[in-house]
Amino acid sequence: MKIFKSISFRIWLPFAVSISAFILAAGYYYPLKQEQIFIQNNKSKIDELAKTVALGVELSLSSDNFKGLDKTIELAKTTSEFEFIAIVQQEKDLEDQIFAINPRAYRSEEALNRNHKKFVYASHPIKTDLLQGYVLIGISKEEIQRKVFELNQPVYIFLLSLLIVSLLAFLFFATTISKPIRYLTSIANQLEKENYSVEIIPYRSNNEIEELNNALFSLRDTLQEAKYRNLEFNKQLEDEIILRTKDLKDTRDKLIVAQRIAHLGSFEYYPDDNHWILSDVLYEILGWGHQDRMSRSNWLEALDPLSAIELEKTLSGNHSSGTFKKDVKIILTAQKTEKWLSIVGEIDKNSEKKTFIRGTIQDITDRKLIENEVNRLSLVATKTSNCVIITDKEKKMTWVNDSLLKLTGYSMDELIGKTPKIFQFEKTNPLTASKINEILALNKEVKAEILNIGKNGNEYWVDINIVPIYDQEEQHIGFMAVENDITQRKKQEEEILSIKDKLESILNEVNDVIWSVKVPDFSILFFSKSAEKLYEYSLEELSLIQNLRSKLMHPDDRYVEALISESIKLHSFFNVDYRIVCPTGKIKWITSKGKVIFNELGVPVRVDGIDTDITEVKMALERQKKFIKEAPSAIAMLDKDLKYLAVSDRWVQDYQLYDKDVIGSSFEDSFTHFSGNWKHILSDCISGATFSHEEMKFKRSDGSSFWLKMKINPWYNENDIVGGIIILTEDITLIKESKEEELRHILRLTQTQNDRLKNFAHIVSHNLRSHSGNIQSLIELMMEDKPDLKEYEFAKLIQVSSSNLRETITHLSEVAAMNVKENEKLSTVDLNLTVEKAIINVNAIAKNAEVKIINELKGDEKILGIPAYLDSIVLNFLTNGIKYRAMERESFIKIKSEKLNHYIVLLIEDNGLGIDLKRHGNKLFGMYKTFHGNPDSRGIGLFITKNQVEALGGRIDVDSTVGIGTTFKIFFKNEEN
Amino acid sequence: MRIFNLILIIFCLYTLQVKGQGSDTEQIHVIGNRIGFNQSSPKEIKEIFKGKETYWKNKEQVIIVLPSAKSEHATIIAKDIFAMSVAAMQKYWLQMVFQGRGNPPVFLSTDKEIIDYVAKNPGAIGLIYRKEKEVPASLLIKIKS
Repeated sequence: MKIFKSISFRIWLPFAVSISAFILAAGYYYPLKQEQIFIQNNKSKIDELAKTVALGVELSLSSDNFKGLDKTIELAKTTSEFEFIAIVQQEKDLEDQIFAINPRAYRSEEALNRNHKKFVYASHPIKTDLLQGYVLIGISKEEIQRKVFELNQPVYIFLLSLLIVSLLAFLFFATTISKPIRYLTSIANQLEKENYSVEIIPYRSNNEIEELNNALFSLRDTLQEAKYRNLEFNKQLEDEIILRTKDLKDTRDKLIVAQRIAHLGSFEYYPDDNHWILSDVLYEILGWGHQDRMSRSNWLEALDPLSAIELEKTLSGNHSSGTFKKDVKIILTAQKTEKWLSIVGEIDKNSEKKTFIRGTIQDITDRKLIENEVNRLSLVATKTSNCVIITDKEKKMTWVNDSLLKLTGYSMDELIGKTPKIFQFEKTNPLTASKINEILALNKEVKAEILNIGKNGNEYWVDINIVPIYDQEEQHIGFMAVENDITQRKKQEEEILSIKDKLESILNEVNDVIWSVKVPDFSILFFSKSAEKLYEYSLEELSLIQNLRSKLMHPDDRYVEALISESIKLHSFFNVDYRIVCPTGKIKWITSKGKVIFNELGVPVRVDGIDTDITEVKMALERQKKFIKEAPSAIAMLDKDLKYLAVSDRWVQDYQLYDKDVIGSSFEDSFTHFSGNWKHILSDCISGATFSHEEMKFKRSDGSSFWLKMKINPWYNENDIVGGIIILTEDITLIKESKEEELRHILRLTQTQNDRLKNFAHIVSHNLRSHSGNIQSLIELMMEDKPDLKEYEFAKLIQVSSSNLRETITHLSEVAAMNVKENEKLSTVDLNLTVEKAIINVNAIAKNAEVKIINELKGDEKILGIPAYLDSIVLNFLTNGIKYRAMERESFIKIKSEKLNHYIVLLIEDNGLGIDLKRHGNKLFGMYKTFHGNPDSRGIGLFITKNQVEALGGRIDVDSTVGIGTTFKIFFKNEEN
Repeated sequence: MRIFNLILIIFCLYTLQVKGQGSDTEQIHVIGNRIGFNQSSPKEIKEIFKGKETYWKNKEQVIIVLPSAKSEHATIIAKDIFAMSVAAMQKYWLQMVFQGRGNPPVFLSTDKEIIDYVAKNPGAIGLIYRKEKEVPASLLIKIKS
C-alpha cells in the first residue's frame, strides 16, 4: 500500500493512464474503421457478382448452355468467399422460396431471413420465361472481421510494445523526478521529530529543489533555536501554571461557594449505565449528608415517583439541538418538601464515544415563589377592574393596565410618556387637580374623586388613590395610581340627592310618620317631619330619645313590645296597634308597621317603618261598639277572625252568654253546635256577601229553642276593606207560633177541600165513564142491528164522538188517579230494570218498524219513584220514538243517564222527525196537542208523562231539531240524596 | 378355378407394369461413346441422365447430351426419362449446375447433332428418338427390359 502513496507512483500514474487510454483507443477504433471500409468494398464486389450470376442464369436458360453458369459459380466461389449464393424464385401470390442454393447444405430459411448484423447482402433480379426471381449473395461479417484482425495483427503487436515501453519510460522519469522530493521529505520528517541534527546535503539538481533544500537548512537552525526558547518558555509556563492553579483553586472554591449560595450544582449522567455524578452542592440541595451519598446509588430515589418520572422524561427527551433547559417541580420524599429545580444540560460524547449528559441543576424554589407572587400580582394589576397607572418621578406614565385603556379609549402607545393631565378637561375641578399635585410633590399618598375625559369624549368620575413608589434603595422612582370608575355611583348619588329632596318634600306632606332605626339598639336614623305632629316632640328632641317606642308606649300596651320582637324574629316585619302618651298627656292610638332590612350577608342592619295615627278610627270604633252594646236588638260585631268586637246586651241575653267574657272571644266558641254549612256562610259574608234568613230555629245551650230572623252583613274599615261582619237576629217565636196556627187552619181547610174534590173527581169520572161506556155500547148495538146506519154519516160521527168521549174520560181518570197517588210514598226503583222491561214490551213493534233501541245505562241508577209511573213514562217515550221515526234513515233510540246534583237524568235520544220547539215548545206537554199529523196521536201521552214525572218530584227538558231528532231529559230524584 | 383366375389376373397386371416400365425407353435410343458399357437398365439410364454420375468407371467425364427445347423430340424424351416437361428438365439441370452437383449437360437441337456430338466426344451419352434411322450401332446402348 505504501507504494501507491509514494510520490513516484503519483507522478507516474497520470502519464500511465493517459498513454494507456490513447493506445487502447487507437487499437480499438482503427480496426473498426478498417472493417467498415472492407464491408463497403465487399458490398460493391458482391453486387457485381450477383449481377454476373443473374446474367449467367438468364443466359443459361435462354441459350440452353449451362457451362457458362458453372464457370461463373466457380469464379464467384474463389473470388468473393461468399457465405452462400442462391437463386430465389418469386411466384405470384406465393412467398419467396429458394430455387437453388450453393452450398447445397446451407439452410434456406437462414438465407431468406436477412440478418444484416451477421451478413452483408447483395441481390440482382432474374427475369426469364422459365424463372422469375433474383440472385442473392451473402457474405459473413465475421469473416470480414477475421480478415481485418489478421491484417492488423502487426499493428496490435506494435501498439502493445509501444504501451509497455511508454509505461516503463514514464516510471523511470517519475522515479528520477521524485528522488529529491523524497529526500527533502525525509529531512522534513526528521525535523518534525525534532531531530535537528539530521544532515542536510545540498542538493544541486534544479533551482526549486535547491531553494527548498536551503530553506530546510535554515529551518533546522530556526527550529533548534526555537526548541531552546521553548524549553525556557515551558519553564516559565510551569511557574505560571503553578501560580494560576492556586488562583484557579481559589476561584474554584469561590465558585463552589457561589454555587452554594446560588443553589447551583452540576451533574453528569450516563443514560446507558444509569450512572450519576453529582457535585456536592447538588447533594446539599437534596439535603443529603455524607452517609446518604455513600449508601444511595441514584439520587432519584430521594424524589417521589412522579417527580422521578418527570425528571427522567426531561433527561431522556429528544433534544435536537443537543441542549435543553427545563424547570421541574419535585417532591423530596424524606423531607416531604417541594422544590423547583432548573435543569440545564447538554448531550455530549466522551472520549470512549459514550453518550452522556452534563449540566447544572439549580434550586429555584425561592425564585419560583417570587415569580408566582409576581405573576399573581401582575394578574391582579392587569385583570382588575380598577385602573392602574404607574408613572416615573415626573409623573409620566410608564405602564397602565387594560382596564384603564378600556375606560379611556387610549392605546398603550398613546399614553406611555404622557402625564395624567391628558385625562383632564374644562369640567375637571382645578382645585382638586392642584391639591393632588401639591400632595404628590411631598411624596405623600393622596385620595380624591375627580372628573376625567376619555379619548372619545366620554366623561367619567374616578376615585383615585395615588401612592409614591420606591426602589430597593428607598429611592423615589415614581407613583402608582389606582383608579376606580365611580361614574355610575356619582350619577346615582345625584339621582339619590334629587330623589331625597323630592322624598323629603313628599314625606313632609304625609301625615304618617316614616321612620328608620338602627339595629340592634334602635337608635334613630330617620324620622319624617310628621313625627313632630304625631309624637308632639321636635325632630331634634326625638333624635335624642333612646328607645322612643318604649318611652312613648302606654303602660297598658307594653305587651305589644313582646309582640313586636316575636314578629320580627319570626317574620322580619310587624304590624301592631298600641297607644302612646304624648308629652302633653294626650293619648293617641297608632298603627306601627315595620320591616327589618338585611345587608348582603343576611345581618339585620336597620328597621324601616311607618306609624299611622288611628286615634280617630279607634274612637269611631269605640263609639260603634257602644252603640251596638246599647242597641235593643241582638247585634254582634265580629272581626275577620270571627272574634267579638262588640255585642249588644240583647245578644248576650238571647244567647245566654252571661258567664262569658264575650269581647275578644271567638264566635265559634259561643256556638259550638253550628254546622259546617254555617262556616261557609260566615266565610262568604267576611268576603263581602250578605246573608238573611226569614226564620230559623235556634237551640240554646239550656236546651230551649226559639225562632229567629237573621241577617248578616259585612262591615268595612276606613280603607273600605271588610273588617268583619255584623250579625243581627230577631226573635220571631211569637210571630211564628201565631202564623203556624193560621197555617194549620188553612191546611185543614185545604185538606177538606181536596177530599171533596177527590170525591167529586171520582164520582164524576166513574159515572161519566159508565155513561160514556153505555153510550158506546148502545151505538155498537145500534150499528149491529141496523147495518145501514154504518153508511150514515152522522152515525159514524156519533160513534167517533162516543169513542173520543170515552178516551178523554179515561185520560182524565188517569190524571185524577195521579193526583190521588201524590201522597203515595216514593220508593227506590232500579231504572235500568225499568228500561229493560219497557224495551221488551216494545221489542215487537220496534223490530217491525226497524228501530234499534240501545240501552247505555250503567245499571247503578237508583231513583226515588213509583214503579207504575216509571213503567208508563219509559214506555211512552219509547213508543213515541218508534212512532215518530224518520223513514228515510236507519232509526235508533239511545238511552243513557247522568248524575246532576240531586237528580239522575234519564236521556232518551232518537234520530226521528224532530219537533219544531219554536212553534210547539210551549204546548209540547199540553193536553190534546199533536205536531206531526200522525193519525194515532191523541196528544195526551206527553201531558200524562209530564204529570207523572212532576208527581215524582222531577221534571222534563227537551231538545229537538226537525229532521235530526229529539232528546228528552227526564230528571228523577236520586235515591242517594 | 377361381384361384387360377385370380393368379392369372395378377400375372397379367405385373406383366403390364413391366411393359409400362419398358415402354418408357421404347421410343428412345440411348447412345453413348466410351462410357464403359453398352447396355443398361432403364433405371440406371435415368439416373445417369439425372446427373448421378460425373465420371464413368473408365475415368471419362460424364457428358450428358440432351435435346434442347427447340428439338422436336425434347418433349417425349423429357417425359420418358425425366417424367417432366422440357422446361422442368431445364430448371432441373439449372438447379444441379448452380449447386455444383453435376456436369452441365449439352443441349442440342436435333438428333443428328446429338449423334454427331456423342460420336465425337468420348464419355458423352445422349438421347435420341428411336425412329431416327441413322444411328451407328457402336453408339447404341441396349436397354435391358
